[in-house]
Amino acid sequence: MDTYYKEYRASTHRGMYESATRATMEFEFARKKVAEFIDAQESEVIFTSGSTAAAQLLIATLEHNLDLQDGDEIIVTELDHHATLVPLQQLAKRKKMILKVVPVNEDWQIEELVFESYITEKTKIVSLVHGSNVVGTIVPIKKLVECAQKINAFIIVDAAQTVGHMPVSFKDCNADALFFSGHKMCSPTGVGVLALKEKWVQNFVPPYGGGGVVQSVSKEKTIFLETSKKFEAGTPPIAEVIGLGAAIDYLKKDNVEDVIKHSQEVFNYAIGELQKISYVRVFAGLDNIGVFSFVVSRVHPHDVAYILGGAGVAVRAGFQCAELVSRKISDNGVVRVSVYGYTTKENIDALIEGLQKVAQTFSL
Amino acid sequence: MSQDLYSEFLLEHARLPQNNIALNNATCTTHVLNEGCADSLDLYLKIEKECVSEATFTGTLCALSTASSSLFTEFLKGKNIDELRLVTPGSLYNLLGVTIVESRTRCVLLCYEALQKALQTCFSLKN
Repeated sequence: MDTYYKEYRASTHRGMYESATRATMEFEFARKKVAEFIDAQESEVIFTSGSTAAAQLLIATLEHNLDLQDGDEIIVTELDHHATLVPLQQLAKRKKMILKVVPVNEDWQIEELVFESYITEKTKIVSLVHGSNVVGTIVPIKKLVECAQKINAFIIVDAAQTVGHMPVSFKDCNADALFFSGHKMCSPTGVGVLALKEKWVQNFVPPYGGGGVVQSVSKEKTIFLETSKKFEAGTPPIAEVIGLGAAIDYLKKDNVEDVIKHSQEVFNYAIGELQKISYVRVFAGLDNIGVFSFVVSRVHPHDVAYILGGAGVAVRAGFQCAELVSRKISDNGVVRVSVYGYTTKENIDALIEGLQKVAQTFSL
Repeated sequence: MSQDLYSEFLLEHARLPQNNIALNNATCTTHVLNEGCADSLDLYLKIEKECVSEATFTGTLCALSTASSSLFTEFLKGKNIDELRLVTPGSLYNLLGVTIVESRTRCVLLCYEALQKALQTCFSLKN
């Protein structure tokens, strides 16, 4: 990114000058890296400003292109992040569709049989979370996708928590679309990816017009590009996309498998230590990406997070933009802990010490 | 450092808040939300002869928000409408007795926001 700004800062796919050519080349090279990283075709990779932007773009695209009728159904799960849940809820209202929410079981997992019971002939769109951002559950998306494909529903996978945290194959999971953000996998903020199956890239008309997405424009009509670029209207986040490519290089060098192994070790240590504390209740999926939440008896999550912050521990308090599952735990929200390749057991010890300060402050 | 915010005085108000009950005969009730954490607060005011005769609150609140609302509702009692209009965030900060860091201002000012809403919705016609 630094090199981009210092040596070849220019827009992509436009200029004929040297810096513009290099910017385009590096930008498209990042697309290649992303495609390889998530086992997709380059032509299926659409750059966005993040997961939420990817979800909005996708849902607007579906509204423009699918035949959605009164009484048709949209299936989401209790693990869904607001990035998909909210726009799908709004879509359901606009189109008079029915939004159905698949519950999680007591282990914070989506059960295949329960999920199957929600699917009907009227199901048009299905949204699945690959990894929960609240309880860390890894959802068996491949099985659930197979189930939803029996009635040809359009399947969306939110992989914001899993890409860069475990091997993810767009091809293998066979969803119609999958999205993720860069910032949860060592990349800069402001960049994300929407992977859209090749057949949809070719057949869908993009919902947004603008520069860089057309073959030609006349007074009468616009002919859009036939590639995934037709969904990237306007100047893209060039430096951030290049940064995402660098993050992929970094993760590949370190090996995602090693990151997983390390995260699991620290995660297990954290769960073990927290479960020893009488005033703490931990909530974590069994098959876990390295994310869990907890509540402290009689103390509001914001007070907990604030005191932990003072102890140098960075956690998030509240509903985590996933209110359905968070409210299952507590109406006050939760404190969420994320573990990744750079999290150490010493960090967890600092968390435990911070919790002792919470206990001291509130006389627990 | 962060624990300085939780003075014994405020913690006592958080543990045993004053006026933490719904007021059935309130003449003005307002609801406010802290979007940052989804905490919510209902402020109940009973106005008699142009003065606040009773002020109470309920809500889903953190310790600071609870303590602040406890002190604030006590502070509002006996004030007339003109005096209510002169209340500022500074009035509330003075009651708390500690320096409030930026990240917690919404927590402690939620009850103040509820008062502002009450002044707009319940008392604007009496201007």
